[in-house]
Amino acid sequence: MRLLDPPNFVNTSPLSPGGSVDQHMQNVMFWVFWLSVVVGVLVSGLLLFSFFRFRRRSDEDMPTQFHGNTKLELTWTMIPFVILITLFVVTMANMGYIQTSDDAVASSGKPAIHVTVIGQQFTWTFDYVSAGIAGHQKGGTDIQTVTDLYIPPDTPIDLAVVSTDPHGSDSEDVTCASSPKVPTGADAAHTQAARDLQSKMAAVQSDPNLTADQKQFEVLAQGIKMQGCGVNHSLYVPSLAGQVNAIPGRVNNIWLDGHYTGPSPGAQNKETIYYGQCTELCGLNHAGMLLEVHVLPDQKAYDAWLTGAAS
Amino acid sequence: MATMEVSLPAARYGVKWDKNRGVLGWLTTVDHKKIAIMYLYTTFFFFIIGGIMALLVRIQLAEPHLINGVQDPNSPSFLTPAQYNQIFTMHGTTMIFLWIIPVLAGFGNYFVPLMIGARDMAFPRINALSFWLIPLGGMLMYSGFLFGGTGSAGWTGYVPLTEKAYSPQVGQDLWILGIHLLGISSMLGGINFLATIKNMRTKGMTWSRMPLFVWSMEVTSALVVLASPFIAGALMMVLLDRQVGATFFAVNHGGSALLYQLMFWFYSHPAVYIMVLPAFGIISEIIPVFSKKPIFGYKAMALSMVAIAFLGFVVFVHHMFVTGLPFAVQVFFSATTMIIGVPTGVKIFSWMATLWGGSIRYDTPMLFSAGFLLMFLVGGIDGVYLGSLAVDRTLHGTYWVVGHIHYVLFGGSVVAVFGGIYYWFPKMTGRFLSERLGKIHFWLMTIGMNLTFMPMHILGVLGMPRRISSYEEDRGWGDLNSLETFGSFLIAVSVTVFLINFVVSMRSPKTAPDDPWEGDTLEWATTSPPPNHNFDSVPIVRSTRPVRDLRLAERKVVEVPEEVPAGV
Repeated sequence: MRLLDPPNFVNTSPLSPGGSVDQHMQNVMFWVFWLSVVVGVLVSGLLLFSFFRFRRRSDEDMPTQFHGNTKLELTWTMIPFVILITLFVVTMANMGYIQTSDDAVASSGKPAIHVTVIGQQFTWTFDYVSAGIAGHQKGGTDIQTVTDLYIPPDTPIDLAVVSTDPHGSDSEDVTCASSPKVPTGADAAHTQAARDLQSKMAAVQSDPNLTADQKQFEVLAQGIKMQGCGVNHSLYVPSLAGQVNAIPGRVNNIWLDGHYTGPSPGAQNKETIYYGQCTELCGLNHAGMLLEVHVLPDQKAYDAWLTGAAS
Repeated sequence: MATMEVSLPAARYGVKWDKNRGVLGWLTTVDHKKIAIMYLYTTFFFFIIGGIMALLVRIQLAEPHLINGVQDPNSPSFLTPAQYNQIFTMHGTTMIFLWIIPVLAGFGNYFVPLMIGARDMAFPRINALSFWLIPLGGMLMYSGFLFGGTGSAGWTGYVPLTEKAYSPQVGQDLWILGIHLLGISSMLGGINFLATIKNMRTKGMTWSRMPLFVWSMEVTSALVVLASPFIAGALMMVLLDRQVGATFFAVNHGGSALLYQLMFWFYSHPAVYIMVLPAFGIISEIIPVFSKKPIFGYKAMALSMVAIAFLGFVVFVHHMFVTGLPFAVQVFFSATTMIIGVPTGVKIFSWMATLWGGSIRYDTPMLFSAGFLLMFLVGGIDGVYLGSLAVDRTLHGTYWVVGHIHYVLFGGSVVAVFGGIYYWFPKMTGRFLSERLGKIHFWLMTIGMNLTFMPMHILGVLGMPRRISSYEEDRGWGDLNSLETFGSFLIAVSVTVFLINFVVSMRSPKTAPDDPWEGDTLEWATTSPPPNHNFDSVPIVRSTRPVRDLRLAERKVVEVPEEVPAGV
């Protein structure tokens, strides 16, 4: 049976973590799984026991008519309560790491790479904010990929996930009519919303606490956010990071890192691929909205890839 | 006997109210029993339609058809993506709004008045209206097939996908209008049940002696009345966006796409309990009767339903853990989600304690109840995974969720509904369903549902998203999907066995006595089927088990009344 053949699913399953974020999710999964096995086996065992043990032997049976037992009832109220609180605590202990890349940046010493992920019917576009030069015709940087995200190994990648519409403001319908394009320069000032956005972006640009990367990241994401077009999507990379929705008008953040597990870094064209796809119904080709995360062997390979992509 | 019963003057009305016979009689009836029978026929019709939709979905998913996101020319699809989206949307919508919710309301319609010793519902004409809105709503929704396609955005109908730009077909509007009618039907029914249970209980039927099924309908009705306006509001806003260019959810006009989800789930999470609490009620009636014991922890059982209803309003954001809401909000709702597991646990343990030391007879209703306990346990446990923020991020939107909802709603509610049908069939028709066919039905359905829904959990942890019309050939998901498709056909066979059983039984003579199972509650104190006016005289209620009290008194078995009269 193919199911038992690991290579078939190893990089599409959250159960085989390819990075530290999913590893933390699996730490919680471990607790939930074993506690649920214990509870499930015990309770179903007791149920099956009572099904068989107390079956009717004679119609004259007259079982004792007991109605309740306060101590027993309190006990079986408290036991699930304690188990569920345990799960809650274990979850919370891991959520800090899962929620932001701060811990990983601090421990690895590598700054996070920022990538904006643009979901639209029916593709994922990755905009390499940290590496690209602003001024791409679509409003992002000059380094963009579709479907495939290339990253260096074991480096925190901050993703800002947004949704837009491939037709953008060309569409005649109510949802997208007169929507401001990603405002670049003078043509952006024709709506109040766009003016608000410009002042917000000016504030971002002059914020001394943000790095240049983060400013660029914020500007692009907010620009797409303002378009307010498109449908909901969900970015899902099971073995790396779980998922977050791409929702028009919102910028949702998620981060991931990935291990390189292929041959030695010196080899040419080597990469480890993690599969993912959209998990929020987004229209006819929802099933075809795939993505692949390519973890390159080392930083050098990533730099080389960036050089190639920019030219 | 005079001290044992309350006579109703209602008998003489029976003849007058029942003057229309035949088809006209059914069309004009305001009798809660006839309305309930129509509820059961109609909803069962939609169950079969929804089931056919499910089979079409399963045929399509049995094998992979995609390579790199594109249709593989060597593996032709059974359905196009457009057909698939309509069919799975109609499957979900039908099963929830046209089957589970109304079939349970149908049972409530038949048995709430009987169990509290009333002549009818409080508002018989409103009751008829509640029913007639259901076929109307169903026809509206399905008429989309005649006008270029039905709703196709899933039973959740999230914006912006349901906005005109992305779902231009009129079927999406018809889908909204259909749900509106069904929502009105539920709300009218809910108000009717609340009024009936509050005002029409017979002498001695205090709150603390009400059958648990009546309790479950009380709590469910409160949920319906409080929650349904939110989905009505949300869908009305979508309709206005679509039809008159309102911009409630149009982000570039200051609307919010996320707002819809908040409003939708504020209804639809409580709606999950609307779909399972009456099932709990049915099981709580069957288990004591077939174990010859009183329900264990009656008060805890009633209170836990009330607790579930309250908590049901403060867990709904767990459907939105990956929408990027503030972290503090997620933490709060994760905590409440964990806590709602506690009253559910109390119920399972109390049912187990009811069985404990009992004398269990495995007639078909009891078999289904036993199946319910095990299947619902799975649905309860696999839900806890989704309540944990960390695990939810990996399983949200995958087949794990599909497996979970089917263990709760099929393994739980549908199994309980079948238990209820076998249990009350003699009361409703005066006939028995065949035990032999009933047992075949039970085993086929149990095996079928586990083959269908258990592999969904594995597919979930293999990363297979829900609602995809097909999947990549190299993902290794094909074998499990084929197994699920096989299981779904077993379920179809089991339902066919039930239909045969029904037809054969309806052609057999009326042999059922008034009280075939040695029941506890008042519906067994009248004839099978009950007369138009329900009771010639209603026994005075002195405990939660008035009919048992009566039976023991008749047998001259001397027994101390087992329940201290409380709250009289």
